[in-house]
Amino acid sequence: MKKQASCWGNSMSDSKSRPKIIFMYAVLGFLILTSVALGRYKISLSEVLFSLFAGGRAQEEIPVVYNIIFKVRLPRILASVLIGSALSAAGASYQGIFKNPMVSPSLLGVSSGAGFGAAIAILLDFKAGMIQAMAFIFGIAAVTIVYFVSRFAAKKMDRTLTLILTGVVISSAFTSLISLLKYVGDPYDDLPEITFWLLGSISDVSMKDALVTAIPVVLGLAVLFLIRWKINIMTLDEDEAVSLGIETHKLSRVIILVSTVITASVVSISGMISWVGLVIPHLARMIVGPDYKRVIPASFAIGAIFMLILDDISRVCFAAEIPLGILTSMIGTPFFLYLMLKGRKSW
Amino acid sequence: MLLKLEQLAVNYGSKPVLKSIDLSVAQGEIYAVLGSNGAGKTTLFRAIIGFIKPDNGRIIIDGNDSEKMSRKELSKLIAYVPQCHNCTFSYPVIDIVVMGCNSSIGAFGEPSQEHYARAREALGKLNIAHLEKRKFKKLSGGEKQLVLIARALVQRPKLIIMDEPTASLDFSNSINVLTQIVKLKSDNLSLLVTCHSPSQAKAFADKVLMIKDGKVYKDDKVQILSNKDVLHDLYCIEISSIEDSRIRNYITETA
Repeated sequence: MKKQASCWGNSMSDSKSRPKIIFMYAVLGFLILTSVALGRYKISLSEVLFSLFAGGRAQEEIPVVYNIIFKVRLPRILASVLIGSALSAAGASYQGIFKNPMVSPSLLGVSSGAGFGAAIAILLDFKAGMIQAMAFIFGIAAVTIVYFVSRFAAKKMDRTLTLILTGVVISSAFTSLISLLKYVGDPYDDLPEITFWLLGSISDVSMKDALVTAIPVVLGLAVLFLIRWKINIMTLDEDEAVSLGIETHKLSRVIILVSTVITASVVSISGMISWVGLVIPHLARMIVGPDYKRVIPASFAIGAIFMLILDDISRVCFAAEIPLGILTSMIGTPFFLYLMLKGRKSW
Repeated sequence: MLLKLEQLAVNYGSKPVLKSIDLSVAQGEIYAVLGSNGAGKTTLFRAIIGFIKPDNGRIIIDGNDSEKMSRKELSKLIAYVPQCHNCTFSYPVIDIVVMGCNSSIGAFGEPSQEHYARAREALGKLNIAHLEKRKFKKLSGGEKQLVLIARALVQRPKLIIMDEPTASLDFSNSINVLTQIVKLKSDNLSLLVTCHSPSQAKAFADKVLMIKDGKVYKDDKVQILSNKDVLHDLYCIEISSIEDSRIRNYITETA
């Protein structure tokens, strides 16, 4: 009788990695609770638990604490978790389908496209909601352009290589357009706002923003979780994957679509957050091995933990808040150098 | 017939690579495919596994037109052992072999304990069960080829296509891989194997398909390889042949 596959897999490596992944999610839960308590306004852990679980009573008895938790801290925490999970999972998936451990979710132009959309909206004095919408739309549009231009260019050439090259070209074009908008924008008003948006920050994220973003991100992560084992086969040469029965073009399209939507969704509320999608999947592989059955759930957790810690540092440790994009670069660069010096052992 | 190619033609852009190839492979038959570099051998294999769409002609597999079959259906009948395997990430051998079970795993599924058992059985059959936990990237060339053959066996196909399985292997590894290929005959599997050495082809094949300039030059019993004029025409070089029946015996005796 055929035994059912468990949620965590059936190989020996799976059983060794199971406690590690459970520990990651336990750490994430603990960090979420402590992050609610952390901040310039001191809130005890008992007040946090009371506010989270007592609902209306907490709002009446400790209104200041309740408002800080639900209007300031929880939206940021939720946004950090979504951004970390989405960028890490999208990065891991892209590294698989492009058979390249050096790629990140911005490979096909989603971040530069989103940046261009946000810059236009800022220049046109749109409100925050419209800036997010424009960032999302242009992020998706940039990848759509890359996809169709590469299909036209590829014919019988290597489709993966053509897609990567087109992504580099279109990303570069959108980056130039962002520079043009910064140049023509008002230097005292538009220019600092565009620059700050591009640096990446979640200081202004509201609960509504976070919840609206959560819908596509959670759906997208669910799809990546469900097809995670098949991504292993996509890391092989395409002729091998085809001979193993994979519809490579269809699966690539699904992964690119899902990764683009979740990346555009989080970038639209946070601005550009670099390095997370590149570095976290490597960290996940170092801990749980290369099998995507484990890399995807581990990337969700480690990405969320990483962004939560950085957001806590950003709002607690400095007098003036440092944009998250700067912090991720400051930590991502030396970590990636360490990986390279270590000699690809973790790949 | 298990595999039948009818007037198969493949072009790269405007350049014809395969021109009107006809071939019939019976169940349990081992075919060696010979031809110089660029003759179209790899293109032929890629067309049969469904990676390249033919520009003309038909591929009939087990009585079905391959164009009307899904990739999953095709992979249940044909397995492919590539010449070289580029592994982006450092997978253990068992994870590489269990990928061969894909056709029996649903879109959102993953391998069950039964699939892992099947993978271990294939490793055992090729005498490489001890490699199960080793990183694929760290294996020798010969061990890698055997692992890829194990993955093909896990697919439980009727036909295995091997693209130069002994290319870049040293003498002992070549003998080891060829010995395992010869053993597969007992499973009534059909094999289509490219190789660059006519002597090797004589050691394992029943029949030989020679491709020259994208066309079938000869499709005959393997004994035709004893005719040096045929090899001279195929490779366009002067050839001297030394016949020694012990070569084939030597290969099987080391099994």
